[in-house]
Amino acid sequence: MFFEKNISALRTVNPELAEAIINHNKEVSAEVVRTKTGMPSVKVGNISLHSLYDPIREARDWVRHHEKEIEGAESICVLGFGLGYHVLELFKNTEAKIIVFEPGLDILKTALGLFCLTSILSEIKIVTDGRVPSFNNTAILEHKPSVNLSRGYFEHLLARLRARERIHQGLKILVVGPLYGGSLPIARYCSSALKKLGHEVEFFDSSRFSDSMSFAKEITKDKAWYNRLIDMLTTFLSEAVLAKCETFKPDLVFALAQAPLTSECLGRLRAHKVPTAFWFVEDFRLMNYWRKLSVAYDYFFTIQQGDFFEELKNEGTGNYCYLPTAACPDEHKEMELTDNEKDYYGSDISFAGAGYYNRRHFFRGLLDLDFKIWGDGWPRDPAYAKYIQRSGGRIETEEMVKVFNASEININLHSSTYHKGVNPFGDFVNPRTFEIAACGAFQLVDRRSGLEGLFDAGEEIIVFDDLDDLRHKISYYIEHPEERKRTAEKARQRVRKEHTYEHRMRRMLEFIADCGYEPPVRNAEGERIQDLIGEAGDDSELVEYLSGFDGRERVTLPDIIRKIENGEGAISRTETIFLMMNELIKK
Amino acid sequence: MNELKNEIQGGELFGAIKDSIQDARNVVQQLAHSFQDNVRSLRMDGDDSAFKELTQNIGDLDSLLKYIKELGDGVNCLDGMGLPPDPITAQGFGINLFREMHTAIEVKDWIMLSDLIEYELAPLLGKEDEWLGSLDEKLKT
Repeated sequence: MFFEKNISALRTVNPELAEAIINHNKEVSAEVVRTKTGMPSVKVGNISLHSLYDPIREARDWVRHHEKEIEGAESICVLGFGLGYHVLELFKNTEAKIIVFEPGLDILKTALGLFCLTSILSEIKIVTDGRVPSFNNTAILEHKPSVNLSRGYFEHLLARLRARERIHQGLKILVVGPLYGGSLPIARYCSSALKKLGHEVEFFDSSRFSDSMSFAKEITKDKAWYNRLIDMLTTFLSEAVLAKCETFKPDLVFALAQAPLTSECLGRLRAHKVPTAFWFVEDFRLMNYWRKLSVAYDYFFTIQQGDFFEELKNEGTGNYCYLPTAACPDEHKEMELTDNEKDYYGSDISFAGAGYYNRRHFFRGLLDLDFKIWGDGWPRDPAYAKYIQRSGGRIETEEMVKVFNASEININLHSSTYHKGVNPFGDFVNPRTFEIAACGAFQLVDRRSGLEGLFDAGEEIIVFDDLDDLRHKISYYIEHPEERKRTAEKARQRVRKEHTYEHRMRRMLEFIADCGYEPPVRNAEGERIQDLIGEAGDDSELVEYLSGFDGRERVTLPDIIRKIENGEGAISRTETIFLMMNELIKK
Repeated sequence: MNELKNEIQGGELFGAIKDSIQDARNVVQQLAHSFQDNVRSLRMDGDDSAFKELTQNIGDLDSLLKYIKELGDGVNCLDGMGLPPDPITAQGFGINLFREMHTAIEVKDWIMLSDLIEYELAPLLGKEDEWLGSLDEKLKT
């Protein structure tokens, strides 16, 4: 009776696990025994998982015993489910997200047949394999008999959880950006997100040399010469990265797609035991330079799975992980526009992006509508002339955000160089999807595999399959502004909850920790920031300055000096004092 | 015998027996607390220190029971005291309990062991304390 109800509840949040439990037909090793209070307990082999006298009282004591760890935790990892007495009790006493690890399907099956657990099954996450979900500020609570029963599984899991804890305590990360292109802003967003997560970050800004590429293009039209010059530029920048590593001594070098790091440079970093990670935010079918580089990096992140994973496996790439792009809420946000801005950037429908082959074809079918196209790479076609804004000049992020905010409907058609419209095999989600959503703006996006795991289609985001479908949906949503608003707001909430670059950077570091990376154990150097803020008393400028290190526990004078050196604008009074202190110490 | 009893009651030996009973009660109470700590450690932490402390407590309990037996035997020599046997040794309660505890340790069923300590041994230690108290009362009369 209970089993069916419990399975139904579990199926709503974790259908895979529900099926696995139903299909688990191995001989059940869990023996149910009646306790002195009449409640059931369970024995596996000779081991009792709960009190044979009063399991409810035991569960209350367990929660009381862990009171301090539970208090203030945003998430709680419970090692072992047993019959769930302690989980039920914990659930009553915390609002934190609960993740329970239990490798024994037979134990879960037994538990689900004994009690009504529907109140918790839809609220907690149960993990039965080695996949550790992402979480913040977690407390790890062991249900000791369960841990003793599956010691190997839990020891491995604990090691991973501890490594995750340490990796979030603060690494020194060198972020290497590309010379130019779409991954350049992403590199900056990642750098900023990592800082917010409390890591010490240096951004290696290769874009300062983007003029050198233009220079090379101007110097020669000969492809071989051009490539030779670009190779030399890449080698130069790779050496500069190595030089930077010599002084900064990073715990991780994190490079974005198109970053100028050669295989030779990556080999030298590996020889010096500096871990390297790469985020390939490109379509692997279009850009194939990943073949040369994927094995040279220690950790490789992708925006595609499926076929790409097969290819990476065949290339011998070690640690690879799916990491979709995201939005940066500091940049991609709702904006109050002036009437002039609304006039200038607004239209019924808009598109902001480059004029790829499929878009050039597809958008011809929309030219009878109030349509504005922003961005470069569009054809000098008279049919398009009145739709392309500013003669196809490049559009920077700030303006793009205004377009998103001003448009009634943002069209988001993923690029393709070989389809005439929607790419039916599209298997990555572009940053624009997250960026429009983060602005609280409404979009119609072409159907892609991968989108379904990121947004709830129909609720948070509206997809189209072809031109007819798109035109039909444009007509409908132009007539239903409230529905647009509601859908866009849901998408915005989803992005803030799951799809920011902070989420991605956290996930990246968790994956690295899960792969066995041992984060360095640092002595507690420097002063506790909270203590310093306390001592700063009424000096509001100093308090504000120190609060800028939010996310870190401690700070040293060299940290402060580095921040001043990397900062922009005029030096404040507080910064002047720190610089003077530094000079005095040097002398 | 009455003379001996009078002599004991009036003399240093009587005082020593009364002190021994009080000492035994203190040890019983301390052990009861210590076993409760064992239960908490076994259920929640289950680390090496929990087992070391448990082994120590079991050893101390063994010594205590021998001491109480001698004390009881000594006091029983006094005619007319009519003391019931102490609760732990009575009707083999203790022996059965220790046998079950031993089995739990052998199979490493720490929950069963904790239950036996919390729900069987602890109340028995409480009764033992009461029995020692009644012994003390009887000696007063």
